[in-house]
Amino acid sequence: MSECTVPTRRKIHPAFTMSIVITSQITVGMLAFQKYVYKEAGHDAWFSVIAAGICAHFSVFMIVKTLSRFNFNSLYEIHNQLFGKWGGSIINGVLICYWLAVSTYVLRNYIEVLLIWIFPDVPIWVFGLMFFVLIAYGLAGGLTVISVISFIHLLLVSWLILLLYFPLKTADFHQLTPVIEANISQLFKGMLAMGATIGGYDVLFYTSSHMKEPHRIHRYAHMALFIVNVLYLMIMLVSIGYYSPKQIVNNSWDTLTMLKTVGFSFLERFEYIVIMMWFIIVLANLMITSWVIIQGITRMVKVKRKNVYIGLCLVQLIIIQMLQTGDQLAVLSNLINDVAIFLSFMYPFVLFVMATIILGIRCRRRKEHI
Amino acid sequence: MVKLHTIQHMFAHHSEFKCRSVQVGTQMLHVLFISSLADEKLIQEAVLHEIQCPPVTRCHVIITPEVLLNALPIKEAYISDELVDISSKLLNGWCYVQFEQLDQGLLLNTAALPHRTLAKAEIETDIFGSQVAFVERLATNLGLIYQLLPDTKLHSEVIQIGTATKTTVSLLYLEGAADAHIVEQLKMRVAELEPLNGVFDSLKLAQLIDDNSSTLFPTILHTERPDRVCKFLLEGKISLLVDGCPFAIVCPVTLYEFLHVNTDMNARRSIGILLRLLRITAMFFSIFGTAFYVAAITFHYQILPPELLKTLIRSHSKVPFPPIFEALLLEIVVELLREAGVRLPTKVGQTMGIVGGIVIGQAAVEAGFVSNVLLMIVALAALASFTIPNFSMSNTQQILRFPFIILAGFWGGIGIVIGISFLTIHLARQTSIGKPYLQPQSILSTRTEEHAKVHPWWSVITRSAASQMVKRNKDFKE
Repeated sequence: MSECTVPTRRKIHPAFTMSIVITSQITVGMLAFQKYVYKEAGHDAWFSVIAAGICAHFSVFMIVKTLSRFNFNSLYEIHNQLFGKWGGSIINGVLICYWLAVSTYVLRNYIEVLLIWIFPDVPIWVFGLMFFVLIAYGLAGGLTVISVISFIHLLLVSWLILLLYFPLKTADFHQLTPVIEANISQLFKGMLAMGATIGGYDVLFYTSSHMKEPHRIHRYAHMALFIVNVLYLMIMLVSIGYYSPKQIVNNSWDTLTMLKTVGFSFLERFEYIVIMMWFIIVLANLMITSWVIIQGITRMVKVKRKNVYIGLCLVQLIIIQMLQTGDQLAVLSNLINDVAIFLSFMYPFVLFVMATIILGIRCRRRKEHI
Repeated sequence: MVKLHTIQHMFAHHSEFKCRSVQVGTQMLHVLFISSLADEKLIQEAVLHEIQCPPVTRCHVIITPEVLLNALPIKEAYISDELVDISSKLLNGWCYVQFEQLDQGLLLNTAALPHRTLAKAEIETDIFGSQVAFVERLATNLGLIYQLLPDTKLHSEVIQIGTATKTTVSLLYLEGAADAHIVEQLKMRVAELEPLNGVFDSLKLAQLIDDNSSTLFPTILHTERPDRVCKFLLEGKISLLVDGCPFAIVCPVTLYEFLHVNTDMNARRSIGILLRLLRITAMFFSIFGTAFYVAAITFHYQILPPELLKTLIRSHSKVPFPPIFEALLLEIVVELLREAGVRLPTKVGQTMGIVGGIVIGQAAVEAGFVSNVLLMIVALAALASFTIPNFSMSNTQQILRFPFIILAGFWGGIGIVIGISFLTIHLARQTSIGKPYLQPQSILSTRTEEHAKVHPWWSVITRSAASQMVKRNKDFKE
């Protein structure tokens, strides 16, 4: 059951875990996560960001712990091993639905950004098709190609961090005081609001079986998580300093609006450039999520990966066409946030405990038989 | 006797084929050669003279091929009776001594194939460093490489391809440094070309053994500099030299190696890095410069500050075409100038530069066909593309501009980004003889598996491991 189907030649260096984890974490969430956290925790939102980051580190620790117990097989295999073929398939089906929802939401949300800022008249499906074609081209190369793409796309957008200097110039950090005014429950709620934004590192569960020396992913996963956490913290701090409390809550795309102030003598309104550069990050992210979904489905049923992808595209196309208004998007966003909190933060612990119990029982039974 | 007829019959329509018959005692000897390929002076002095004049004829009453083989002062000689062998050797400039009574004869290497002397590198010019370039003769080229890399580990294997041309291809690699698997694969691919009619050019050979011949990007590097080939050999790469072509091809390579020149390595570290950065910036500008202008003017004028926008609009307002058409028009003119510059003789080329660059450009702006800002951008982009040291990569970038301009004209910034995404995915999928074309995959390969030294990804801007700095004492001096 636990056969390793990946040939050595196609395996990837574990350091690519870093780029894969970072790209699956930062997506549209990074463009607008501030207001959700700020609503809950007020000007202490930065503390919630740190807390969520620390929790994420713990759950990454659990993920790798669990994986190492199962010889770094993918989560789908682990479920099959733990719960049998039927039980495993049901749980895998739920997971696939979750990833489908996430990728559709990311796609639709980014298209929303494009519609609001750049092309208000273009129909949604046109953008969808653009993405689908590009994703298909990347997916055809397998995870080896996807990992390289995510790495290069990260390099291509990394310089955008420097733009934070411009809002920082006008930021007023007195707004951060008094420090820790919010009570624990507010901070906790703020932390929960970070759920979907910071989640996504659970992609580790699926990619580790494709790594050359999978035991080395631990360090890289933590490094990636740390980078993302610092990034979120920086953006949060700058936003709290830059905006007044009212503005930050009423603004729907805090990060983008903040970058309006960026201006050189030959270019201004950098949010346009950020939105466009974000295309390639969203693309890399969608490639990874599509890959995860395709892996799950092909493991359950014997279908060609290509056909699975065509089906996936059709489903996503229908869903993004159906989601027309911002309210519908918000509902989906809340739903995904709740599920992400469970799957990213809690599930690694749950799985670890379940695995310990089930394997323990099996071990004892085997001893009794003998 | 029959044999001589056969050979003569074979070369009956060959005007340069010569047969000189010599009577030695009772024997009749025929010396056959092709005069334009063989060294006539050598035949005269070392063959005819030796046969006709004393020592040989005096000591032996009957001359056998064995006697002659020992007597003639020729570096390469052997006895042969195979017609195919004899005819092919004759066509290579050898000379054949036929004994009338015997069925066999003596093949003597008297070749003096036409060749030119060594010259300066014309295409990959370099200010410092070695100036010599390859020539058309394989033996000379191999000599140039062996001279720079006198190591017994340097293997050179000969493969013949082409049924008509019988071109010799030499495969060079450094044992231990090169990946044995890739060497085998390459040998197989070259050997598979044998039934082809003919291959003259290493560039053509590169197309034939390529992984993916449909990509715009060159995945096999060609160079005319022996020092570059040696540098690549040291890095564990494999080089192929084709007889008759003054270019060597090197594989597997990565995208970045097409942007490197020797000066980066040899000049001072900081200067080398800056030059490389300059070249990379130039590459980006040459691909995206015009497309960015088209996108900004067509869709996203918000991103331009008002003062700049004023200038741009003022220059564009007289032009009757949309920006995309205007840009394509100018780009095509630049392509025309470039192509004409390559085809024309050097002396006329200068005139053409003046006519094309100044007259057409100035007139087009004054006639209101194109805006002068765009003219400037296009010219800058063209200039930037000339900094790419490799000609085939430079070609690729010239072509790449067009899809980007079209995408920018239709979809603005998103079009450009779609193009970039497509490009990165495309590049990430390419391989050069099985090795990833974009670096990250190969540098991040696990330590145990790699034999070949590979550059870290930051060597795009810095230099390769070979020129790493010596560790210095970081402490203050006393």
